[in-house]
Amino acid sequence: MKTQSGSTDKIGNMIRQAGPEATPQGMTERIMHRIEATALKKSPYISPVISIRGWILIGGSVFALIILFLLTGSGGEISSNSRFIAKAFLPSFQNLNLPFHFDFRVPKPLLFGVAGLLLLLSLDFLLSTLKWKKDTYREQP
Amino acid sequence: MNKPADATIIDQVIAGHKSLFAQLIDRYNAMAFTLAYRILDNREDAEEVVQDAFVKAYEHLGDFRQKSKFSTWLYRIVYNTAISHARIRRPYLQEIDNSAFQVPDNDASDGSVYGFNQDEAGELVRKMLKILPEEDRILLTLYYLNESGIDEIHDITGLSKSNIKVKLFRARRKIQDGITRVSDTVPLYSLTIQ
Repeated sequence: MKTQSGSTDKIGNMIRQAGPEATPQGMTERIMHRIEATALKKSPYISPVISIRGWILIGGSVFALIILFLLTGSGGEISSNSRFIAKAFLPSFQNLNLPFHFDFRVPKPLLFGVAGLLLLLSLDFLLSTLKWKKDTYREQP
Repeated sequence: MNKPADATIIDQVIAGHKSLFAQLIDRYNAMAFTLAYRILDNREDAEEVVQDAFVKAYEHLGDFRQKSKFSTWLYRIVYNTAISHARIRRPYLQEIDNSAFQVPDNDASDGSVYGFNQDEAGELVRKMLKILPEEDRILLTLYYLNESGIDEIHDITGLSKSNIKVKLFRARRKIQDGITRVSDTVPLYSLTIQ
């Protein structure tokens, strides 16, 4: 864009030579007078209640629980979903020569727990990234 | 002595040293006023807009994450405030006649562009820009006077980069055509486009 023809360079040079408009006398003082009567606004940005680190810890704990249930078997009520998953994937797992007993039974509360966690994660992500996106005073992404 | 960086001043202002904000005003009020004036074409309105913009910038200083330059953020506020002000004031059409391109008699040759001094150049630039829509005036001012790149102009105005390039091209051509057309009837000294 900087490589202009001679004529447009002249227009640019003319604008540069003219310089900025002269500011009205005492404008800085008048602005400062208004600033003195103004308070800094608190940032409207709402930080997530649970930090990313917190979510990693929660996610890690849930993942560890799932692994624990898968390895040891928890008993209790078995969800139809887990039966379906077991039916679909268990044969391939059984072919593996695992050093532990693989009991694919996931209790319903755990499934609901994981689904709830995913929902909360999505909600947290949406709130923290999209909520203030269109605020005039925020910097452009 | 080196001037403190904007970021340093901003941190201190947020920490409670309100008076330091005057340094930021002194640094950027000329360009802020020029941008507002280019849109509103009235000094009183331009000052009102600049005052409002600085007050808004101060109020929301806590939101400024310093990912862009302070000037870019400030000029964006000035631009938005001026555009809103212009809409409220209701835009009026200005008749453009050939006198917009008439320049004063001048025989100076002090090395300045076209031999005009700064006041004369300023007067001519104001007249030239009047033939353009307010948005195009801002683009030319940011591009040539503030030496902003397309990315920065995009950040300030919110226009798409391709749109900025097209508008800049058309604005330059429009001024050029205007000067050429008028130069057929009015002697324009060395300003005549070759």
